Amino acid sequence: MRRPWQPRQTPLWWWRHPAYRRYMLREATAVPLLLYALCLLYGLYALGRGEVAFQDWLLWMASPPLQVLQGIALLAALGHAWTWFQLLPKILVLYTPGGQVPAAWLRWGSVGLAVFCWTALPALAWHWLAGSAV
Amino acid sequence: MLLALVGPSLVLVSLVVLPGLDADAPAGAYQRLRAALGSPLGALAAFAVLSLIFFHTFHRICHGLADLHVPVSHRVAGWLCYGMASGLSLLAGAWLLGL
Repeated sequence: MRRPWQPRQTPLWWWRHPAYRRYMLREATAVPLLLYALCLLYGLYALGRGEVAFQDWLLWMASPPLQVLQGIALLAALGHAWTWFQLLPKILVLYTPGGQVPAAWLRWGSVGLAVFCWTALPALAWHWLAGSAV
Repeated sequence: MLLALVGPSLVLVSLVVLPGLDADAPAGAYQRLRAALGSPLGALAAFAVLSLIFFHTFHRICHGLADLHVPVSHRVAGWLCYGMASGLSLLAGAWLLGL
């Protein structure tokens, strides 16, 4: 029996086309998000160790290298979310009695919901942590 | 979808909100955070968010290793990545239970 043909692919296949490079860049956004999650995990550990350890963690998170990491993680999260909202109408097809929900409605509806979450959740956290009544 | 909504919000909280607190506010923030994450609902929410990030990122790293033709079998990469995600999630759960 003949074996199926398997095309050879170099490890740098993704460098050949801008769309492939964008795809790999999107996949690479997982790395800063993972590093950020590890920082949060360390914060959880510090929270359990006591107030002094938690203050130290806050200072550590406010240091320039960690600020840069958080900035990169924010850009990565925003970029990943934006590409996800572009994909969403292709994955989620909704029908109403009048027909199919337009893709633009789904796309911009999800973007609107996201912008609301991105502003409301930090604002709520600010009021709650600063001690104001919400 | 959930990560697209929660991820940037979470980074904004630690990047903007926490450093922006008043000098005496972190003490109150510590008490509030500890009380919130010590409650069953808060602990469950924090565990869900952290494990979601761990599994999501390790899932993408696992596929990224295959895309980059890293010479590791897909089964080994899967065990490593999902094992790391499970281990870190369990660690987060243990620390949350200890609060």
